[in-house]
Amino acid sequence: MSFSGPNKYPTASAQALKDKPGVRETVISATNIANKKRSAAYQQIDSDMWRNWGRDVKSHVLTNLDRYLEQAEEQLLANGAKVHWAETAHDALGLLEKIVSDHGIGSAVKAKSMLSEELGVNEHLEELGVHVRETDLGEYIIQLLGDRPSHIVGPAMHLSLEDCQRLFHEKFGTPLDGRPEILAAAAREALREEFLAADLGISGCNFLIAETGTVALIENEGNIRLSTSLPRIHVALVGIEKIVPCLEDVSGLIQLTSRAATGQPIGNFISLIQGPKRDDEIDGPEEVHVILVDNGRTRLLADDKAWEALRCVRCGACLNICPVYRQTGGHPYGWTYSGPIGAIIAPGMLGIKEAMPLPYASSLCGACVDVCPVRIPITELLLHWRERAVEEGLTPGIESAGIKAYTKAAERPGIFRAAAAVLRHLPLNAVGRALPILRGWIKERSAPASSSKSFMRQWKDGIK
Amino acid sequence: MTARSSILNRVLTALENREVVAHPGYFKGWRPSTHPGSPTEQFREMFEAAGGEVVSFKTQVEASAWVRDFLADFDGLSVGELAHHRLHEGARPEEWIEGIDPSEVEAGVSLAFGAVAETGSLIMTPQDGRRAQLLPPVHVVFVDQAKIYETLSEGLKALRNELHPEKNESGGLPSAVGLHSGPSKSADIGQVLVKGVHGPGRVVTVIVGSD
Repeated sequence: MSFSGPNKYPTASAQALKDKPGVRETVISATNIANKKRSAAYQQIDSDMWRNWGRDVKSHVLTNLDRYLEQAEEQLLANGAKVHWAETAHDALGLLEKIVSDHGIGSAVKAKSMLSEELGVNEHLEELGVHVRETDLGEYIIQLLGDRPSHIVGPAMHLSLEDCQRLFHEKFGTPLDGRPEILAAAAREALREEFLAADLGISGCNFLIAETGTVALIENEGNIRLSTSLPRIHVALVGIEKIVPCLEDVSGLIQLTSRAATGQPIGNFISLIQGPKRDDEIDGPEEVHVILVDNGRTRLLADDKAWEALRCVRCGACLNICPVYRQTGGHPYGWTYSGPIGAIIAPGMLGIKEAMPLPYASSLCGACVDVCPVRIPITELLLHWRERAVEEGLTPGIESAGIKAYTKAAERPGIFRAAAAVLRHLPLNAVGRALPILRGWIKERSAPASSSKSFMRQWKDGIK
Repeated sequence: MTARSSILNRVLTALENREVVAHPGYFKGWRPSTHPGSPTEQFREMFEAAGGEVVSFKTQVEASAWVRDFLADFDGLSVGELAHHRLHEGARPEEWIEGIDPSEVEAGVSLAFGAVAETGSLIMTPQDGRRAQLLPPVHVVFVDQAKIYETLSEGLKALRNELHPEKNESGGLPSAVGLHSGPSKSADIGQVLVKGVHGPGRVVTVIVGSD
């Protein structure tokens, strides 16, 4: 299954609510748990101070990105890792293809990586005849279903226990009412063989430390440590915005990200990977490749306001708290990154036209801003992209026409009063027809009947 | 133009008129109040909260005896090089079996470089073998009480300085460092917590040298 693209959001979200009402229930219940845990984990620390610090470290890196990228490359090379640069998804896949053919790779295990979703790594490797296996339990379930992740941190968050039980029953013959431990044990057994047999391990990267040339990865299952330790080749896909200056910084950012994502003080397994196995070490990959990927990131960096979105540590807290995301999960957003963060990075990375109408998929309630560990001004950036959409004439034609008509009427009190009187006496759906600007809004809502008197009249008479 | 130079050029162009943000200084783990207990107590509290187990002994001899007893019923052990060396200081080293593939045993034994109180983490280096730390369902880890650091950044700094004081390669770090802060777990199936997905489902920290 491939993503439908952001443009389909209005129909895709309506469809999701209509056809899969269970998803809403499952996502709300899962995000309720995540919100409770994050909130408790924030309360244990001086979260304001931590978040200010996180914001400043990431902004510092982004405003000095060229120098830190060069430092990271230099240090990785000194560690014996190989460094590649990819401008586009196409280039990144080409580099991966070269590694696959150079080393005669037949099978690959993957640690969860949103960047690999963004690039379309699985499809490409499969076309090359490489057997690819996702190893994060959630990603594995998604892969078995031929589905897409619906959440940055919990890719299978939209699936209920019953959905998983049905899948595992068909796939492994586990009982239809099998407890999660039984399903997980079946997955462990199947995946263990794949770990031991794979030639290539593919990971993403949470942070790339410039000072030490370290790929830092956070997880709970141990599949990332296995994917980066067992196969003879390890490829890390790294977005160029992932850099942090030094070990001390990553010590803080790992804790901040863990608290924001899952409410843990730290993920149960952290990998700090400097390079390939050394002569005095008994295991580990023979080669470590780091692919530094742009794919729209420099385009977002060039935006005077929206560059701040590149601070994102992909914790998913803004998704969990978003009243819009929680209704549908991530699929209707039609792109790898959903929820509030997806809505502000899509216009910068893909182009505003390609990302429409995601900046509108928000009530601007600001809950996301309150939880963001690196204080990305998400609502400001949603408004920023909405302004840009209007400037570029991308808002629905009727909406801008409606605004113009309203401006004209509002400047002439006589016309305004007359028009308002007419609208007051129309039923709501007819108001929608008369005021196209409201049509989309009214379509989803009901309202009490309009008063026969204008507000000004009622004000003068004394509102009861 | 190479991909490298065009990406770096685009970065430079993007940053042309951007105000540079200063580094805010090192992370100090600001908390409303610091933990009342010792680093060891805090480590234990954090590690147990994450589902791990902790036992502590005054001497290596006592610790080794306990571990041997604990592992008596397990079918096959994989003992890391450093852990094995440690065990020679204790009783009956000849009973320990080395060289078994970690994928085929029930328990692995390793020595941690150190531990971190603030996060409840064991700092694992590759010297003991990464496979032995990850593949067996049970992982038993020795750690010296003297090397339980208060903060993560202190622990990592100590690792760097001790292993490669000259800081030539990777600022002094080995090829890969793992921070293990409890058993492998997942809540990907119906939001229910399951232990022992991929990595060890049981991690036992054995603190050596406690008061």
